[in-house]
Amino acid sequence: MEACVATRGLSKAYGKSEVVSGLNLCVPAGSVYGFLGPNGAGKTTTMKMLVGLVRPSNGSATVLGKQVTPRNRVLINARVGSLIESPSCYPHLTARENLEIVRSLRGLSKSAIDEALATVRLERTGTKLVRAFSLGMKQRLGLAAALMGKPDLLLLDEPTNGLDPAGIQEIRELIRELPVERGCAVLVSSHLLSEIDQMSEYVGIISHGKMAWQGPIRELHAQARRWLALRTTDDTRAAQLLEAAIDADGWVQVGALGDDDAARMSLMLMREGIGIIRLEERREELEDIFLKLTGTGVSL
Amino acid sequence: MRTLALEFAKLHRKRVWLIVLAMVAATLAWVYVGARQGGAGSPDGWQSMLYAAPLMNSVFLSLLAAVVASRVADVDHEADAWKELLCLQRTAPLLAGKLACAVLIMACATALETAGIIAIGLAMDFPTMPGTPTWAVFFFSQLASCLGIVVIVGSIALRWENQFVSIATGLALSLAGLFSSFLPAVLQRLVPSGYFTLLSCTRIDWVASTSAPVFYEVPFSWGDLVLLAAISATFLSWSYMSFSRREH
Repeated sequence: MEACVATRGLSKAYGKSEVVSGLNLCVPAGSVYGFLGPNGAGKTTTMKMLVGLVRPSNGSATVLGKQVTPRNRVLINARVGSLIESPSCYPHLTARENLEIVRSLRGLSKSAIDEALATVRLERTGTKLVRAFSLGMKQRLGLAAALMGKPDLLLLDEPTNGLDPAGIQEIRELIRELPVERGCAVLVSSHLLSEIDQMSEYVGIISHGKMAWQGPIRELHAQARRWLALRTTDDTRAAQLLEAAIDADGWVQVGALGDDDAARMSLMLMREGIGIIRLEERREELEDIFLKLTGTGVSL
Repeated sequence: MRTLALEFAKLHRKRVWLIVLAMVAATLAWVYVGARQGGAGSPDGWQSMLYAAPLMNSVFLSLLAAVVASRVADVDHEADAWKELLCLQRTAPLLAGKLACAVLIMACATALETAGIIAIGLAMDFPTMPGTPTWAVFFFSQLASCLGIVVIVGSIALRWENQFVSIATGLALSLAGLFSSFLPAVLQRLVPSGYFTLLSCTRIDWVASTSAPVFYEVPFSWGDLVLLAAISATFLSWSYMSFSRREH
């Protein structure tokens, strides 16, 4: 698997406080990689180290096959689009004038502005100054700036912040399509598991600056524990017979069973004169796995 | 050139040129009032203006240079644009572009003022207009003094996002400029806004018996220019190192 971002033991400390600690991140080329972690876990600092805005205390980062150093960061960033923390927008300029600055810095053609504005649906803002934009519109403008020049890698730090539900959906779809339509890899951070689940093929879970888990998101789903929950006419006896526990809501919990075993269990209960009222297959939510991995809540 | 053009593009709608016009107009108005006291056709009219303008500049151009330097830095603070700019640009060209932009604006302001003084002198029908070298020295001496203020205030404006600090420094320099000519030359050299008069080649003396002013020319003070360049270079290096070390 070719990696377009790879870090080795990447660390950042401010004084005695280590905000990123020995991070080994691997973003496969042409994929959407969800970088998940609670607020303050070290996601933004990691992204800043990838573009050379923050100097690592230890370890190294390789982006698009080149190790990031103060000397070559501008060269690497010419192929990277980024939206880190808040979007950079000049409030006294229009959306087009803002993108003109990015266009000039990247040495792109004038058509790149129209293309970027159309992608984020800001092409009709005309002479409206950015100071009159909503938070969502500013976020879209930041995304447009990141997308300009068709970068090989996009670093998006909580890109759906401030967007309305329709905007969130639109941006998620855009991110999902980017690897297919433009062949670029996307490293997208969020503190919302559901968001990452909907967009990403790979996920890295960071907690207290350390990588708690990393891999394809389907493997994370596969880790989810499954079980059967049943309500019967005599739950206490059913639990005794099945050597099962009763949860706080009064459901008898039985480990995951195949079809044959489930059939045998229901017949056994019937023979004992216990009727099954409800039988449900349950699986652990991703949130629960996240909680176990990070030891914290999914979202603040 | 691209970075310089970008700096001017960022200043679009910031009304910088309006501020330049207002400040130069205020300076010229003051110079004109002084010139009128001598009356039309006054034999030392040109000298009186070349003496008065640097005095006014130490107040007005000091303030203008501080405002321009602050604006040029603040435009990126306000947009939270440093992280985007530094992803795509090296620190040195970025800061050089900002410095060049501020100096170019101040060059325009100084050129406008020089042209304004010439226009006033011609309108007042002063005899024997000084030659091009005198005007060139006047222009470059005033611009060099502006550069000093731009570098000092610009360094502060880059360092602290809150522009109150840089503008307050500009105001303090402007006020110091007002009184700097009353200080002994050694102390005057410690005041950046004092260089407007230090680098000026026109001096004044008073005839005790008549209390009449006598204007005279002195050679250009290369030593003061070198000192100003050294102060500017020190601030420039500090600003560059401090900005480069900072993580955005």
